Amino acid sequence: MKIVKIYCTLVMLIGICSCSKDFLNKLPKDKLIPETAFVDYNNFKTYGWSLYEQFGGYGGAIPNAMQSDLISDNMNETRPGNMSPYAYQTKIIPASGNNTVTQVVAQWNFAYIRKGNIMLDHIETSKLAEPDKLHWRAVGYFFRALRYYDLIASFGDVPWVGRTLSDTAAILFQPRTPRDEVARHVLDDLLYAEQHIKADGDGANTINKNVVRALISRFGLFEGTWRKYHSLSGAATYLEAAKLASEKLMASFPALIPVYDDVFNSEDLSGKPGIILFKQYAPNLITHSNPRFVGSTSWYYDLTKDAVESYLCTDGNRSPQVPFMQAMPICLLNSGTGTGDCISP
Amino acid sequence: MFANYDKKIKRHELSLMGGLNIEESLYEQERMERDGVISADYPSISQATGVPVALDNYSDYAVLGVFGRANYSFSGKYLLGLTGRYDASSRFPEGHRSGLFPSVSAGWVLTREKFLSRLPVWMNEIKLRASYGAVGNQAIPEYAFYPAMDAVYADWLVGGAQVTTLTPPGLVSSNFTWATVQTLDFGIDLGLFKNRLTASVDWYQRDTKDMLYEGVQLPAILGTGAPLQNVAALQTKGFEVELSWRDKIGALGYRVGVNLFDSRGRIKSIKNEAGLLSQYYVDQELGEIWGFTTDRLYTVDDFVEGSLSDNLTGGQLKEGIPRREGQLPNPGDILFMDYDGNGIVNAGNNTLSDPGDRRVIGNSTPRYRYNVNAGFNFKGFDLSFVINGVVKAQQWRANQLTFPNLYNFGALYSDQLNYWMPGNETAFHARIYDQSAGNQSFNQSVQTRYLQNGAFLRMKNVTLAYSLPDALIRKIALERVQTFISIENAFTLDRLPSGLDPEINRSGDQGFGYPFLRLYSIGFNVSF
Repeated sequence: MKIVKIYCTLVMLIGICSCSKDFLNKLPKDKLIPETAFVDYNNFKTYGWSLYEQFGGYGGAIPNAMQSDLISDNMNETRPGNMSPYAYQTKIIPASGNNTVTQVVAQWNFAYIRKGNIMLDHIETSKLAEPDKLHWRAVGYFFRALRYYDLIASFGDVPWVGRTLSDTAAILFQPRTPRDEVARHVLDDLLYAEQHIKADGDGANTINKNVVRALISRFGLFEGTWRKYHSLSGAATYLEAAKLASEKLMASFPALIPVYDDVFNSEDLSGKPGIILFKQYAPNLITHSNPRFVGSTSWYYDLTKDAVESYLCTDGNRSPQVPFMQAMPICLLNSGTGTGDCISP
Repeated sequence: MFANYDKKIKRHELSLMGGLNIEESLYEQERMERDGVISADYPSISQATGVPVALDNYSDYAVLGVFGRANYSFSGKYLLGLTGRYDASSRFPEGHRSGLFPSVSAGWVLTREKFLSRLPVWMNEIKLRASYGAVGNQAIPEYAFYPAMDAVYADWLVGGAQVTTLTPPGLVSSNFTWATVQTLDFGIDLGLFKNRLTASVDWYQRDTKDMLYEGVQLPAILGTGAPLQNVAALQTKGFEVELSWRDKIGALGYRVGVNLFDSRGRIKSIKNEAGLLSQYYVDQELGEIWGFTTDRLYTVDDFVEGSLSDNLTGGQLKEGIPRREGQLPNPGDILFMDYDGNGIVNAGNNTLSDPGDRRVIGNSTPRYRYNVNAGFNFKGFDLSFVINGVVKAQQWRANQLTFPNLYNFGALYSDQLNYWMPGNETAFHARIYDQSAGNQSFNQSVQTRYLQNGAFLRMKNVTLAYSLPDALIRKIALERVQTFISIENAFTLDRLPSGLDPEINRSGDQGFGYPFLRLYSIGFNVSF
């Protein structure tokens, strides 16, 4: 009897050990891994949408367009105690950075760069057709350049991370890459993108040739003028690139949007003249709070007299030359309804 | 599946046990929902008008192991036990799946020794115990070694609809394995005075080794967190004492049981070379509270004469009076101790080597926890109660019950009116501001002055029962007739502001969670 038992046990043990490898191999069923997430064109398109987060649109509770004005002499926050930390010398230097979106001062965070590089690194091993590979590389380059533009603007020298890093990568502990080199990478990538991206992108309101040109124009002007006025070399390269891209853009977009205020306070800008790319808003999905700030006494924020006086009026005068309240209706009150003939500052 | 084998030869007793353990768990969740049911009486997905939502969720794991146990005893005096497990888990990557977890225990019953036969008669049983054991811990999420990508909505609309995208995969390491919990325990069991007093005392040291934690510290350039590795270790030391006494004085019977226990945990190893206080660091005691030391409130005399406005703001501090970084203090705000004497009170680099003016000001771990249960019976009456409590604990609680006017829509309760005002310079609470703006956030930072005392004693249950005498109820063919009154959570003694419970520490501005219910019950038991 005892012998039978022992045999039984042995047979069981052998049986279990032989199947244990498969028994213990458990794959996640409701999640994707990079090997399964980057195969065909639609896979790239899906992942690519996450890169659009870099377009902050109008921003959060306080519109991006107001953020920097709030700490300048153009706007004032009247909430008790919330005075400008710069004016009152109470600003504390942050110890770490968030992954901010464009139009806000960039912080020391490379999560977005990694996000773009992950896509770029999986193009070669995918089953994309050759022209599609070029297209997605162009898209990846564009978004990476977009973030690097912010990083350069904030820090000058920043480490150039051209591919997904592992935890043992040497670059982690190397000094920052000189601005000169980073800016050149950014421009080269953008020019590549302009050449290889599909002219119409991936449908309406996606990254296409014109969007790339718009970034070349902006970045080229920024980097070119920075170099020019700091007496650095290479200014012409960037300014020339900006000029070329701008000329092509102007040819494609001959008209500008008639109501300037719409650019800063709309849900949907599709079909409006002069709009290259816009962030669409829809109730319950993605929303913004700009209408809250339209009235002149909205919330706690307001323009200062100094800001009002720096607006240009329809008769060509700056507002100090006309009585204060005459300048107001033209430039501020009418802009709320979008019916006035407000002039760009 | 397991098998037993027992053998007894004269005074030697041996028992062996061996077994196999196969475990597989599959969790599946499929969910469908749709709002706007047309008829509430006949709910169905297709007869609803809202947007249908479908979700699913799967996770599975498997464990495979062998285990064995051997117990040996010699004439009931010397006891020895050996156990071992060898387990493999699907939660770990291939090649790192298995772990061996042995343990050993020994006991010695002194009172059965012949040479101790002259022990006083009231010593009924004395037993010494020692054990050392390892247990494996696989309590980590499934599939942790796969760089998973989750589907989420993108922050972008295409044609008015939100598009779905994927999150970038994290960095994972493919060589992590079990964490082990090793426990060393010494104990003594006593039975004294005809076993009316039984007691047991235990001291233990528990080492949790190879816990998963970020294996290295890497710069932000990486763009994500470092992969998890088996690098962290925690050591807990503690004791537990249990006493119980049961006796009778005439017709009064009584019993008292007391149990007291305590433990302290300390981080033994972790990767935090910079000594950042925002993370665990080596030699950190669990529950530490870092904060500022409150000196006093600023007074008008701390400001340059004539610099204060009519409502006592905007003043200029006199030379040598410190202030918080980023703060423009007013009279009535909290003045903190400036330990490093640089005139600025801040958290320094927030590291161990430069904590600025912050110190460990308390510990939130409840220390010396106890339970008491006692009962008395006398001629059919039976009174019993259960108490539990904590002798020592500090808690940092920032909510509407601990701070007046906590935030701009916050409340100001009647027991919080002792705040600073001109004429009430010795107030407990600091100055409060219109819309809780200005310096209130500085005044509410973690500090000694508003650290709460978490010690408490709670009467968990009191019961008074009366049973009719047996002689009486037998006549009417009943087994037992009892009436009782009982109160759950009768009262709690603590030092917290009213409305807060020492055991329910919820974050959020309200400060309280769902409370322990006080339950009164009156009952009548009849057994046939």
